[in-house]
Amino acid sequence: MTVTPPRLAERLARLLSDRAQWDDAIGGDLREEFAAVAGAEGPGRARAWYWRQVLDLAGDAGSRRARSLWSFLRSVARPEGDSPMRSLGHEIRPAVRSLLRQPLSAAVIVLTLAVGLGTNAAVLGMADALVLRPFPFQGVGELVAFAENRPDDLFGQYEVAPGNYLEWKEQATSFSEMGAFTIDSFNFAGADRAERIDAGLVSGEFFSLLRITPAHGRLIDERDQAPGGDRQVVLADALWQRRFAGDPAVIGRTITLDGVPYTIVGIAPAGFDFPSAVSLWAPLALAGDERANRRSYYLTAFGRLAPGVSFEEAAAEMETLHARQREAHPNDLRDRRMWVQTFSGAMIDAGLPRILVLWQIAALLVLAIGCANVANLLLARGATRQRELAVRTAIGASRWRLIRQLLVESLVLAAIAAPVALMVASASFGVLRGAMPAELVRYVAGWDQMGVDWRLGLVTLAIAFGTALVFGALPALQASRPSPHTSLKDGGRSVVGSRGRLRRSLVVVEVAIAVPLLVVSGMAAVGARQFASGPQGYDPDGVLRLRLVLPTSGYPDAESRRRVTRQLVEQMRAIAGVEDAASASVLPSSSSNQRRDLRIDGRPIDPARIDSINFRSVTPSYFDLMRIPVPGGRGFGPSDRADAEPVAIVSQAMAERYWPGESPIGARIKLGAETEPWTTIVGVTGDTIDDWFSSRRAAAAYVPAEQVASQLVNLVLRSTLDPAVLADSARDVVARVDPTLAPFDVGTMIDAIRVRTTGIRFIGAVMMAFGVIALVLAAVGVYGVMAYSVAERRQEIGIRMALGATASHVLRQTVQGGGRMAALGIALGLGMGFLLARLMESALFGVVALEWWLFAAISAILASVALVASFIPARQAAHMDPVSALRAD
Amino acid sequence: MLFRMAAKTPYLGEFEQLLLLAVLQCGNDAYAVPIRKTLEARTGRRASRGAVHTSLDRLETKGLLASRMGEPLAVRGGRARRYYALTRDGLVALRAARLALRTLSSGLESLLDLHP
Repeated sequence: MTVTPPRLAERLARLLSDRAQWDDAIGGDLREEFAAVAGAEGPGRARAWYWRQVLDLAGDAGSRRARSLWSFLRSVARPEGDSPMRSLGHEIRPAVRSLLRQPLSAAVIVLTLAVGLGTNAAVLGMADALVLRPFPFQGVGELVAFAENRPDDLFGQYEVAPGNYLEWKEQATSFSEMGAFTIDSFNFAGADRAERIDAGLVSGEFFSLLRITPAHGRLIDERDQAPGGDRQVVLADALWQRRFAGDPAVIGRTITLDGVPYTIVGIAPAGFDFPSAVSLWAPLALAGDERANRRSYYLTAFGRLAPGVSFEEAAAEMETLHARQREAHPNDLRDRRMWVQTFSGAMIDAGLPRILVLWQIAALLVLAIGCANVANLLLARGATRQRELAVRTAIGASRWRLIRQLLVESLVLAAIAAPVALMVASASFGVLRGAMPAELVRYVAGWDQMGVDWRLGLVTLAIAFGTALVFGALPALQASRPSPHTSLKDGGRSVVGSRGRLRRSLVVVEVAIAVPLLVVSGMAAVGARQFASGPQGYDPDGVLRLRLVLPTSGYPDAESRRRVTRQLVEQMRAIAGVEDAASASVLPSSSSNQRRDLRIDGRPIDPARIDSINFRSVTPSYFDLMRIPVPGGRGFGPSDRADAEPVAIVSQAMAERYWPGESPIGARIKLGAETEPWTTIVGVTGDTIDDWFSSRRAAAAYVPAEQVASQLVNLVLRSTLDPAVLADSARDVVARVDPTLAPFDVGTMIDAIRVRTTGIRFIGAVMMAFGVIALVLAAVGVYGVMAYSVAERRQEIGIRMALGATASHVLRQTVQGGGRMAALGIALGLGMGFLLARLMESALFGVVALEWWLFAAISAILASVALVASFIPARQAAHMDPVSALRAD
Repeated sequence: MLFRMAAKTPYLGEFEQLLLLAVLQCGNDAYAVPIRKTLEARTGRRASRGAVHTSLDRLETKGLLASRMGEPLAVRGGRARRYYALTRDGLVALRAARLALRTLSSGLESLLDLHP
């Protein structure tokens, strides 16, 4: 048995090491040496040894960073060479000196700035990796994607019909090359059991368009498009490593997909993962009738701009072509439209940019709060330095000269804060990468590429300097306006009314900005909670699911599918400890859906606008097993056989939508094509939540599996057994019934919900982080101003107390001051909060709702934080000894 | 002859020289762990892990070291070892550095040697 190093220590060691050096180098070395120490001195000693190594690594990393920071500071403080740099040096050196005179306040300023700039850099880095450059292909900027979606369906896949695509390919002149692909999944036969894999079916141009070269063998090309010549596959690196141990000799070997043999012709380079998460690529063979198909839109098409052709010219040509096609085929293409987009713009998740915009706004607000804090601290510094500035004015410095000196100080602060901010960003990337489960990361193009690079560094430095001018300007203008005679007088009161007011207004602004941030983070958190653990419409506890797809090769007709479904359900039920088993074509919280056009008997229909609804074929005990209530009519029973009258059960949402105020039972509907038989509604069930994203209360119709035997078989088992053990027995059952079937998505319903809600929970967690940072910064702001004003008013408070004011009086007065600022800020912030909440609602498609109690709760939280923050200095004031306060100064 | 050679062979930093010597000392077993151990044991000074790997990489880029990956090992948490060996250029550079040191210190033995 091998002892492994402490997990946390290893993580830290990894964070502290250079990323490129971790895996085979430092990480491996540490493991190996750890094992040696453990063998010689025992595991306890070895663990201590490992922690010492972490400390060493931390020391090394620290000195590395300190060295670079030091040489940077030295270069600005002591520039050599030409005169403009020298004159800048003249400005900077005194600025650095003056900052070092009050190191604590300088450090607080740098830290505050670094948090604000760091959150910004983190969001910008994410946007850069996920939206701007998610695909690391050569010349990806010249790639253009096409779609002919309906105008109201932009969020679906990029859909193109094969017939139209082939015509574009032939006629369009703006492109040097055009290709298409689609995604399909297969049962991939293994030694004893099959595995479910996703595959890209790609045209011959696919790889050359993306400028990919093979790691071994060859890729799919024109040769493979010929009818009958399309039984070739190219393996993705991941599958090659996993199933064939990276053996190059697999080329030429045969694998079986859905019972059909394919020859391996090549291996794709490691890291090539497009479309996301496919395990292999096979030719997209469009033959016969399929070449003229303009009814099913299942391709994604893209092309490379010919040399000298602009995006706009290409888009115009495609639109002309498509207009001609619409004229030629009015029925098929009626409400389709040509959309031309950049490749990267088209291939990323449509909701992502909006969420990033939301995060960016949040990050800017955090930065604004940070700036307000820093401005306040600088105002306070300016107040204490008034005498110094007055002396300089008295000996002849112009006001402009003073302003310039103060601004240079702010710039130096920003220059120091920027690298610290990049460290904050880099740490956030580490946390973000760790927070996203692997099963989702592979679907997010660019997630692995998030990191700090020189571009992000430059942008952060630029933002830092920009903010320095913003937060530095006010204090510089204020502080450079001294009246020498009052300031120079011994013990002169430095408080000028307007300056105190300015500082208080800054805190009001800060609180006002924190409100909208807290509102949206609260909304996201509440939404995430609701979806992950709120009512689902069924009882997911103790349910295991297992998905299968019956390939047409083995199950060509309804009867064969019925038989195997029956067999599977019966044998699952026979597993000891299983209370019940059932099957459905689609389960809640899964990534797939089935929809059918709806026709209602006796109601006229507009063929251009047919409603489509969710469709599920289920075995009779499904509702009982999932504990979905059937409040009206009846459930399915053994009498609903294939040869009996077709029946359906509809969801409550569907009943309310199509039969408002009446009972749908007895009504007849048609699901799917015109040629389908009329189906009688016999029951109404409760609604289930299928998808947190779009269909919360979706209209759904259920039909008996005996009457509509689906290729999609999702088995559900209710049991009190350990899910892992049960999963193994269930897999055994599948392997016994048909070893070529590959179960996938095997796990508990609770896990399924967890995976489906990862996105919203992630969004919620990030927003929550923004909210907490904002709250802390706002609290620091209130505290700073109150503490400063108490310190400044020591003498005044002392006089009051000497004249008879009680401690509780002073306490009340000071807390009231803080409370007033908070109240004003909250009042101003609620308006902004309302606007941002609306944006959030639209970004998340009604997943989160604007809730009034949230506004109340957030106001209360902010108010109490502000009161606590002003209570601490207030208590100090109240316990002050009036005599010593009066004697001071 | 000496100057021609010195002009052609790349300059070796002190730490680089020590690393190349440590690689030679380790023989067939020259990967990061024993290299660093040898270095620390024989020179008595600490060498940070990052510096060792960075310098080994750099020496390889300069063409003074060649490396090959071993098998993934359970004891390394499934990671592989990278074994190093001196290239011809590496040996030439090391010889040149040593020659320069010897030439410059000749006649100074009484001052420089520990046991005169």
